[in-house]
Amino acid sequence: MVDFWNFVITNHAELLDQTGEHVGLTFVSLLIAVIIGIPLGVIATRFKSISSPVLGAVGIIQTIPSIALLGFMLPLLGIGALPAIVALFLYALLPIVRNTYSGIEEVESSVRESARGMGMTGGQILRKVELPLASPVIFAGIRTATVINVGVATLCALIGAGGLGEYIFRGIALNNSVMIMAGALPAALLALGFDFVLGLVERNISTLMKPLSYGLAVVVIFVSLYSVSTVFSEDQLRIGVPPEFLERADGFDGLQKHYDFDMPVVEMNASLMYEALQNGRVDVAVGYSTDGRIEAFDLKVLEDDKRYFPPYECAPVVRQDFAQQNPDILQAINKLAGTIDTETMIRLNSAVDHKGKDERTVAEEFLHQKGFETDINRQGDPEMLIGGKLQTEQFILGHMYRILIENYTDLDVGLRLGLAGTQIVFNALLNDEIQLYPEYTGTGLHVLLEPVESTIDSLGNNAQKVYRYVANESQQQFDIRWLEPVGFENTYVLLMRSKQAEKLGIETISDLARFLNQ
Amino acid sequence: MIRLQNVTKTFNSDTTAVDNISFHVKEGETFGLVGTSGCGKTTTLKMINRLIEPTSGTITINGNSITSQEPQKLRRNIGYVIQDVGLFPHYTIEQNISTVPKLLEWNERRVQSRSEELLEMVGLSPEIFSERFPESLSGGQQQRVGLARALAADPSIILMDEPFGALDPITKRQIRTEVSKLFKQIKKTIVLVTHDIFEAFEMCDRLCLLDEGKMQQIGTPKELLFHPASDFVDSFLASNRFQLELLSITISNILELKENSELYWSPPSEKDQQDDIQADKSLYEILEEMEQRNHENGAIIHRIDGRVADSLSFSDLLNRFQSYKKDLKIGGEDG
Ligand SMILES: Nc1ncnc2c1ncn2[C@@H]1O[C@H](COP(=O)(O)OP(=O)(O)OP(=O)(O)O)[C@@H](O)[C@H]1O
Ligand SMILES: [Mg+2]
Repeated sequence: MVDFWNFVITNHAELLDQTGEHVGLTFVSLLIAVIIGIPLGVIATRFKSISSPVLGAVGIIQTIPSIALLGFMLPLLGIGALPAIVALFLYALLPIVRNTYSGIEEVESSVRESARGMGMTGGQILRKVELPLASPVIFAGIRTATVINVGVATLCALIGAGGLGEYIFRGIALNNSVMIMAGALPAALLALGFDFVLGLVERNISTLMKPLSYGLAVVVIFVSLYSVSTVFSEDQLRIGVPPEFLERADGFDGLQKHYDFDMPVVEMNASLMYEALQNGRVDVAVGYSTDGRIEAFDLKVLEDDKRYFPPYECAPVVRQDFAQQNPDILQAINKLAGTIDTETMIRLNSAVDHKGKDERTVAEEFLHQKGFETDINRQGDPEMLIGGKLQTEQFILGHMYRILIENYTDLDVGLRLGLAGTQIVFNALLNDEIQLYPEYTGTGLHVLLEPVESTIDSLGNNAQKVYRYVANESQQQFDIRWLEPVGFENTYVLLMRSKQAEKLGIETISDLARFLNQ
Repeated sequence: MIRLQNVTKTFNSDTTAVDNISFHVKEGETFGLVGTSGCGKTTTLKMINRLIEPTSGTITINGNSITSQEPQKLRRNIGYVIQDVGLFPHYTIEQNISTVPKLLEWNERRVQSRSEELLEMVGLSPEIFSERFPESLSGGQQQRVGLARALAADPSIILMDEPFGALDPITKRQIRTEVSKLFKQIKKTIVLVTHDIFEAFEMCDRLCLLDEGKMQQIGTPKELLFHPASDFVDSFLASNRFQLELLSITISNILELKENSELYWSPPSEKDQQDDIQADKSLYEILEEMEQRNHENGAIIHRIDGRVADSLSFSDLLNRFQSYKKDLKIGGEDG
């Protein structure tokens, strides 16, 4: 609890921003849903032949899992606030359309008949009779939609739209429950708060109807415009940063200090970064040097001219007890040592990311080429599990290790790939839920061991020194053994669109800092 | 005033709800549409204010086809009262009554004074009811408001579809009597749909009896009773014949009234005061009152020029009634 309050107090500015974005996403999408949903509901009551298709369609949208709906938006609208708002809008549509429809349908037929009989026009009946009488039901629909949207909006952080989901997902990636709480609690409070306020309004709707609907409309429009303008403002260079990088010791804060610059951050999942960079939503992105898309998307890697990043040699890490019991496995794994240089890794990654091959095939083909046995493919209950992070090369490496172990030992191997962050994978290893995964020396140093600054300085970002230090310390502190490096390095890099970098004359991170500080 | 000519309405090309109907409703009369459930009464009524468009045939009001103006305009000049009233639950009583005047864009003052006047007219105090909402009114009160609403813009025609159908018998009778009186005062042309034959006999000057969409007979209650056009008409009235006869025959029918005739109760309900009897009272009402007055020693006195011509007891009245009926059937024309 104390941790939580400390976190909230130190991060209140960011938390407020996220809450603002969250409310913005919720209300912009809600406003659109109201503007479109109510007429749609009305039309459904007027033309009986389209009422069931319309209600059916909005009902089906609601059954699509929210993550999947956000996923469908990606190829259509890319990432950021726009696809998030569209997805939220689609979600909000059902309760609003359905309640408008049923609210109007529930108006007693005698009331409608007498209205017609007195000579009211269709429009007058709608405005003076049907909508006012249906308003409590319609409002209940809006209330439901609001609460749904506050919840679903947390997922929008996944596609770079911001909101309170950022803390939740960053917290999940770092296995930090305080941070998850910092996102989840305000989201829950928002939902409860809106529900309560709208509930009050709903109960008093007949008396509050006029002043309220105008007032609400004005407030909603202002909030919406404001948040749209903040979400879409374009005047500055912005950097896309994956959640984990924001919190790491070798991450964004350190980078800004090291190079002495300050730029607005858009937090987003690493897998979305390239698209965001390409469509101009961000101008700089944090990526991985082995990523095949750097070339494919024609991106410029900014040189780390002041040597901020440590070396990130990739090497498998295993539990000490497991290593001692299975020397044959170590042998099998070590066959890969030194075989994949950085060029090769980039090529393999791009075979997956760009050419659409699956990781397993890529792993198999590579090993086959190198003259390893790849024929055995066991299907039994796994006797050991290999873990991996949510990066393409970790998937490929995981498959390579599985193939090697299955072909050179008697063990059946299972995979737990795609885990959401370093802390999660590492904890899984410590708890013996997995026995092996590929890690990077720099990450071991800064994320797992977190030594004092003087120690880091003494290592001087020298690859061998860092490897030796990390290997020793991991053995002593965690009983984890680092095996021989695979041969490639995967360091964090800052990426820009080549054209823009050229135009602005930016080659190095120092150039970028200079440009920003102008 | 209202004229239907060869009007037919077919729903979904197979249900003929109204089949080649023609009738003429005269100005100032109350015209009843009666018949069993599903015979097409409501359909016929709704064609008059174009809530339903006829499949064929013409309807005119004062010689003008009702299709010569927008249906909304037409309806604003025709009062419409239905069984379920259909008051707007979100409007106050006053706002409900003011609906049509507001559609006609009357000025604020006129709208308000009209609504008060109407509430008085239907027997509700404006001070108590104006600001209340329909849900806080009893069924009878709601129906009174419904009536006031239909009268709001002073239309010359009022269409009523089972207006008292949802009320309990006592309230129904009471409101019916008041409404009959009111209608006589304000001289409206009324088309009344009802399946309550007593209501039709009590309120209507003329009736149209429908069966399966076809017109069976048009005429005064008496004509239907004593000169039924078909076996259907006869059997339709058969089960209530005696009461209907009493309802349709007035006291003046069975007495030979002169210019200087006076009718009064004997003995009077209060001493030294003469209880006059109106000549158009139906026998039903007379006998009912006599019953209440304890008919053993009650009688009706008929005086001509101050001299007593007749003194009639309960059984005298019934005898006269029987012989009047006999004459009616032989005579062919009713008196
Ligand atoms: N909108 C409609 N569509 C199809 N058929 C209809 C429609 N309205 C009425 N009918 C049919 O037309 C016939 C006459 O209906 P109508 O409502 O005029 O009867 P009614 O005499 O008013 O009966 P009730 O005394 O029960 O009110 C019925 O058979 C009814 O089912
Ligand atoms: Mg009817």
